[in-house]
Amino acid sequence: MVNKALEIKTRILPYAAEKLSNDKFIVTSYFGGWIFLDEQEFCLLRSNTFFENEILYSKLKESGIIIEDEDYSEAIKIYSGINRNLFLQPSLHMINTTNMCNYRCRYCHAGVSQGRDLMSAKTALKIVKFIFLSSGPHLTIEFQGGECLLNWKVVKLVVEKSRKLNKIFKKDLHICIVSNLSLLDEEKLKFLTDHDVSICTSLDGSIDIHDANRKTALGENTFQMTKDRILHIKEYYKKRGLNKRVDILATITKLALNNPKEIVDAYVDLGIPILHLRPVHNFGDALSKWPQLSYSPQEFYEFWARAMDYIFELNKRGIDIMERGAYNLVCKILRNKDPLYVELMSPTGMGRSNLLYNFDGSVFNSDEGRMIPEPVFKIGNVDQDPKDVLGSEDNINVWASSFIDLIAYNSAFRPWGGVHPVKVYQDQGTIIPNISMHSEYQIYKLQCRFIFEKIAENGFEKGLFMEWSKKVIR
Amino acid sequence: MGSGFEINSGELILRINPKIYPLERVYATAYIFLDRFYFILDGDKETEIMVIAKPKDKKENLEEFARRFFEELLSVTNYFNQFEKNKDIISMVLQRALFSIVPKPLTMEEEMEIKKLEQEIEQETKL
Repeated sequence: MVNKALEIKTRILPYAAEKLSNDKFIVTSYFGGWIFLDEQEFCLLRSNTFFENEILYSKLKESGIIIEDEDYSEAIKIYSGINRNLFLQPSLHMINTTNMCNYRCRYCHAGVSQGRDLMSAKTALKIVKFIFLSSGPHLTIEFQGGECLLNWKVVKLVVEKSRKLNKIFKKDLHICIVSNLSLLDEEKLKFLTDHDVSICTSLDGSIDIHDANRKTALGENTFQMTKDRILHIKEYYKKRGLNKRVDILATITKLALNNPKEIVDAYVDLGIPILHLRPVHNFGDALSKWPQLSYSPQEFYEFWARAMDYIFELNKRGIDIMERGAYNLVCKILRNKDPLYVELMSPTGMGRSNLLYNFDGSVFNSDEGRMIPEPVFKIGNVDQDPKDVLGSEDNINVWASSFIDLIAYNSAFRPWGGVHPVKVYQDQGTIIPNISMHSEYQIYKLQCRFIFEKIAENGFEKGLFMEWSKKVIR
Repeated sequence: MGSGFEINSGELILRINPKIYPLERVYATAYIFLDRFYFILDGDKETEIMVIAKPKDKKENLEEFARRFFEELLSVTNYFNQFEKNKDIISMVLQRALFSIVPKPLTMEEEMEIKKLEQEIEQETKL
């Protein structure tokens, strides 16, 4: 048989491989193409002797591990698909309307216990201007806090002005509030619904876990109130004939590790089809309670894997429930689709895809950036030209240090991952990551391995991942 | 000088032939294991590179780790060889990706809206 390399110019792109528990190898190319190979096939690839094996040659070509005749169109397609964020101007603009809160959550990342400040109307208008000048065709404005409803006047002003401006700018504008819902009365709910503002809240799972984590400033439990408000909003949407969902986040503390099933059940009981199991971080008020809140990456992963197995079981029984973290990964892996999740961007999407505007008009590269006591991640303020803020040396230095290709080049899971510079700084005291020791990256690798093992099994779980990856979620 | 290793008083000493594995690849390989070992790099980049590895956990099997280190060194070297061979393509694709978005200038209508907003900001300042 003629060696194809002699008649066609074939390039083997840089690749990395890991052995899975079923003895298959997951092999990924630099640009994000991937394939499962058995040991014999992997040996042929490694020794550059695959040319005469036509089946293997075709598999390697289709998966983008090799390219022929300088035809890199497929590589570009894969790369630009999983890195769509690189082609977009800042799309997620978070506004911290106040650092005050009427809750005292055990893990509060924003450190609201010291908060005393409210954003002014003037600053809010400057932020709206900054957002419309710096954003691309897709724009999400998200109100953060503190409790953002404590500054309702500013929330209302920003929503009204943004909707008005967008009549001219015609961006794909999505607005949402992240709130504990305690101050959400009928008037506010009507306004938010009339202006198509989505609502997102926190529910840490079952009553015991949630109430231990999330209490009011007066020490009252909040599970029942949160549950009632979620059900009320759902009912309100239904009455108005709207197909809107309430988004819910779960922050996983040590207390929750033994209860993955109960947490998933709490979401199912509320009819919430998406949950996001996120590890707790050591920012703000969480720092002083870190030993009581934290766990090892392996412990978090085991919790997450048990939750995933239960989610598979529920879906097999016809109950539609999805884990957002897994969704983010399978979108990239199975569809070459970037879910625009900032923690999975390389270089980081902070200060590029995401921006945070603080109550005083300062601009941070991310929500977490403002939670660091030092101004390391402050990149400017809303009085400046957005181009100068985005192009500031401080901002670009953080991007440069977060290019995952420089630090995780030998990982088969590199093409879909990212680095979170603020968490790296908080954990390791530098913006230059020591990736193998960073807990988030360790969790990411374990989750990727879990997902690939399920895909390799080619059973129900793979089918479910395929279904999830078809969805578009903001 | 050939490559090899020895174990001495709970430390692993790896000797690496720099004509086979360049110093940069040794740095990259040691970096991968920073969570498990303390490293001291010594020797001469022309004749023999020495990597002294002290485990952070005394339960580490040093002989097994030595073999793992050389395996990883081979993998890193191979990866960067492929990277070097393909760097023109990689750079071209990345450039296409990074520069394909040019910020859209404002239309006259959009500029007028921004001006109105600026006037409102001005009014807020006077209040």
